[in-house]
Amino acid sequence: MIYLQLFFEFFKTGLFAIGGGLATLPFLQEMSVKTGWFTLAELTDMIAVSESTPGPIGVNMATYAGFTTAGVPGSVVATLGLITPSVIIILIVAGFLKKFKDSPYVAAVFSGLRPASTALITAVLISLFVSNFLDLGLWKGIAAESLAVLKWKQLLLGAAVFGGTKIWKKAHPAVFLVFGAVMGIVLKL
Amino acid sequence: MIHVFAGLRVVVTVLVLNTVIKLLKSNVRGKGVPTLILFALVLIASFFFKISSILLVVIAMVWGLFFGLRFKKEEKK
Repeated sequence: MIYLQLFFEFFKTGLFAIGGGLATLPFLQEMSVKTGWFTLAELTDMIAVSESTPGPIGVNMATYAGFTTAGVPGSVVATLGLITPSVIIILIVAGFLKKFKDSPYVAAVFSGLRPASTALITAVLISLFVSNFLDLGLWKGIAAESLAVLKWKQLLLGAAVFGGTKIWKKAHPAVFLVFGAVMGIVLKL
Repeated sequence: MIHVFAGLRVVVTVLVLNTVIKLLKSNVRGKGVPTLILFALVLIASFFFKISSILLVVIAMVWGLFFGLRFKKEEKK
């Protein structure tokens, strides 16, 4: 039953997550709330692993989520679930590529999908920011004490990494992840 | 190990931030008012109201079909 559920959930993700690997994030976040297979923190860890390993991030995340949920068979089923819609859709599209390419309807649909996909990933980003940079339990209304909600060490590290990604634009994300891991130990985050 | 993952989560958030900045530049900035409205509506619906992403994707497709074709017609005129 768990395998069928895994396949179905990742099939849905593969079918609707349009716009690259990170487009799977909003669906995975929903999945974590709905199924309890993994937490938001674990999802973030999954992204870290996926970003530092070869292969498309969406597939890596499906494999990782499947494995944490139901071991090796789970990882295979989840990955198959994620890629099946793409395989079917691309097989159909490949047959009518020229038609699809020039179709004003397809272009119009994508003009709506692109901003929506961006908004969904932005919503996940806000959730990640809140969970990794703020401690909302310390919020005491609009007062000076409420500054305690800010996790200063994390914010400083985040600013340093953001600056680093702007300076060393061609550096592999794994470099920053290793830096983050080391700084996590040094700063005792 | 807890500290390692805490550090990793910070970096992941920054990497996602960089992706969002790139996506905003290519998919939202300078793409017209309907695009901006759609972006804001989906963001609010997803973050505050936790509305299903699948539903939002379907709504966005219909929205794109409606406004995309309408602008195309206006351009032709």
